[in-house]
Amino acid sequence: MSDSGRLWDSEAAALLSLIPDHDRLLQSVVETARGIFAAQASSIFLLDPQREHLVFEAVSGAGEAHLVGMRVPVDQGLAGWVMASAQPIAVDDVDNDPMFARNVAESTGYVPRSILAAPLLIDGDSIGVIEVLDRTSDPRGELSDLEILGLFANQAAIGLQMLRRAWLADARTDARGERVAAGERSGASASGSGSGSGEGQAAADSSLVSALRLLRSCNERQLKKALVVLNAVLDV
Amino acid sequence: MIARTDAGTGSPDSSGPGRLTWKLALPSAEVPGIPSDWPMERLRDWAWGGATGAGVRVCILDSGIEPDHPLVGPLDGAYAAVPAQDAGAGYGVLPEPPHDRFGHGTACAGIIRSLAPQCSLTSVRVLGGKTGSGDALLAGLRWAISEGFDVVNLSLSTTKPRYTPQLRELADEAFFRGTVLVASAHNMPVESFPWRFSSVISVGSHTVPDPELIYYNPYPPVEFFAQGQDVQVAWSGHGTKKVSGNSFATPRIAGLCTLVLSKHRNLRPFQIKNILFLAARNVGYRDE
Repeated sequence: MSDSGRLWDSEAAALLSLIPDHDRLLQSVVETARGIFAAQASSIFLLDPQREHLVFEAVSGAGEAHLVGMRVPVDQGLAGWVMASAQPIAVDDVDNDPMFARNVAESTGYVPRSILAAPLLIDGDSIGVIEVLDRTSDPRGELSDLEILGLFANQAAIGLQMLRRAWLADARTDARGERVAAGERSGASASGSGSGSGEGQAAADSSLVSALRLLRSCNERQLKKALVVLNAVLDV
Repeated sequence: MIARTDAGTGSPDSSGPGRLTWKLALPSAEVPGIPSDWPMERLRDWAWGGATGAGVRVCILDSGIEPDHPLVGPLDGAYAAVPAQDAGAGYGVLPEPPHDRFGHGTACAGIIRSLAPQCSLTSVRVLGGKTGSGDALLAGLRWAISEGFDVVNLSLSTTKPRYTPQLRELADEAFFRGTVLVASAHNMPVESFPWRFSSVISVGSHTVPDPELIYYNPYPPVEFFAQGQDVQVAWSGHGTKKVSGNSFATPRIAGLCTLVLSKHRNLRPFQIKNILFLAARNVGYRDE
């Protein structure tokens, strides 16, 4: 494998290594949200790379076993509106709407009575939606449930943003380290680029093959996750 | 008391342009700096008593409006802000069959209709593509102002600062042309626009179940609070939902503006805002 191939390899590996951290963070967020509101369920949707669907990325409570990975169109429904408007909303009698109940039941197997939903905002852009289903009506202090979820969604979004920035920093550090090592092996100055345009093209080809080889070893779910994460990272 | 919440710090005392006042903790009779014997107790009767909204044209920039919803009634137009066919030519506003895939615009329309049953309602859909777009919001707002609507309901905002200068120019243009812009404060402590501009009427929520009860906020940028919690509203599918959020307080203020204009046709936006101020429970209005 070429040095440049190793460089790409390290970036791809860093991307894939991010997935468990990403999953753990999202799962922690939904479990905490569910706890705050003593709710039946909480879930996080993230926008897919094609920006056409919201994908269930983490679920706590009802639907936990089968919802992760399911997709809903981004241009309809409550989650779609929260995504598009970047505003939270509370709906407290969703089960009185037969069409909604049937659609939801068909796709998720669970029909909530109430939904609290807030956007995950990074630099003003919605990257996803957090929902809390069937919270208790217990008073939670001076703030309304909508405000509490909004505050918590902001914290979750900051966590995601930090994780993604950490990944970028790691990838850049690894890449720099690979470049330095490559320079030392070729006898070139560590501070110079050390390659002409022909070598650069060959390195890029080799890198692509290397990256594809690594991605080929992923299962389908890892690949989808990698796309979601990569898309989000490139948007940071 | 009215909350003075500062973004980031939560400090109740600091002030300045960066401060975000985004919620009303507890409505009260706090009087924001006017004489306690202010002679406007019957102002609400004068302002909108007996009004129906007849003759006033209202535009709702939102997710569209469902046609023939029993709580919304007839529409006088349905349009959408869409990307121009020529790449790079920005967004344009075109007529389209009315529809609302989210339900939110239908909810706003139903609230305005409940207050102003004879007003003219027009929908401009600026949400409902792949994602919300600041470009669509700008195009829709520019079109609504150029069409000379009397009242524009904006139960939405953009969190993207790059749209702020153009939005501010449009808000000022509306102010001087006589179009009243009524805009929702964001429900989260984040910066968004156009509700923060002084040329618009900005709205947050209170929790009192009274559709005509409004409060003035002595600590702007949110200037008024209207009922926005546990509100039964029209929704897509010819149904209703019980919802909460500033989105649903905003059309109440827009509806009141519509009523005032239908009785007092020549009032300017700053006069409308002053009437709302004087009619607020914690200013001029008292229980009789």
